[in-house]
Amino acid sequence: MGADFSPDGKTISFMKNADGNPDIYLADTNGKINTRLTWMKSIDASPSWSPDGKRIAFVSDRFGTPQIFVMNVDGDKIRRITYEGNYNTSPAWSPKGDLIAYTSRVNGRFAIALADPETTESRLLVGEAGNNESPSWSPDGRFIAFSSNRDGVYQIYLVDRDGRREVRVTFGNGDKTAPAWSPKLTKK
Amino acid sequence: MVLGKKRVTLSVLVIAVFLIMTLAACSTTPKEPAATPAQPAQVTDYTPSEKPVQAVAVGPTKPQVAVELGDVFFAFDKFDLTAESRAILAKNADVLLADSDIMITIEGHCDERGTEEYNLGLGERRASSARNYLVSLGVSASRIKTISYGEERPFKWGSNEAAWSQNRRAHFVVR
Repeated sequence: MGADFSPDGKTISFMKNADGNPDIYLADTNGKINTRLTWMKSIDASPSWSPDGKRIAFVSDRFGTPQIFVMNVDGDKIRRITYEGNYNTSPAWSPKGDLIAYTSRVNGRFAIALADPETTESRLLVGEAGNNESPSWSPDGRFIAFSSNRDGVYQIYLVDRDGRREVRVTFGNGDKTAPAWSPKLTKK
Repeated sequence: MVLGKKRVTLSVLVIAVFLIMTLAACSTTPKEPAATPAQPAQVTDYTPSEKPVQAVAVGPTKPQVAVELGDVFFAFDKFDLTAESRAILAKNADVLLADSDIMITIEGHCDERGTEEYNLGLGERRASSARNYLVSLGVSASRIKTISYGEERPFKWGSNEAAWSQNRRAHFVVR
């Protein structure tokens, strides 16, 4: 989403619109902005930290359409991760670090997809019906929460990382979007 | 503290509303039967708060000149200007070049699809596209402010192309 804590909780990555287009910056928890990471005249948004704290996934349209990229936390070594389709946004790095979930526009509708940040291989996870957006990993990495309007208004759903099972977890009127997990699942 | 502030804001709002009503009342008094009824441009659909704001901004300073600036519309995930958009902007430029006192804000808007952050950037680009074209036609850049509302202030509610196409726009507001 708009801002993301580093895994050690000491740094916040966020987007700032300073010179006509959003770029990604880092700030400490006192709100002091320390570093500017992106400098292109493109939209650079939606930073998501890797679980080891060394890299950041983000969205950029520097080559014309929004795609997922990865960079080191010093803004170096920028690599493009997604190549399929012309609209890929909302990256969420998995707690294990092996996958990046994102929203992908397929045939005019939004789907949830997964990409391997090392090989850049990608596959669709959710996208049979309606629009499916804003993936968010559970802290144990087993589930992805997302919003979908497949049943009418936007509701929150869960899917396991293999895409085998989906569960709807909210009901009732009104759009529910942008899910985020609490830091730890409590084990009984 | 916070409550107090809110109350002040509220009372300012109440005064503003009162002023609008007073102004409206003035303009409809039978003194000036020829006065053109301030035509609300599009009454058919839900429009956000721009309308009353515009009434305040334009009303008191230039009561007899209704500044009419057309909005321009965009395709999904696009910020380039169509021939139609350029024609609208050329008309807007004529209006602006004829009266150098008019200061404007161009708001960039997006439809609800896609992420909010990306759409904030896209809205900025749409506003900038419109501004740059006006500047290329001779309008001073210092008269034009741009702001992006992304997908947060739709002109028309709904999850269909009829609504989306209305929401992908650069909207002109006279300051």
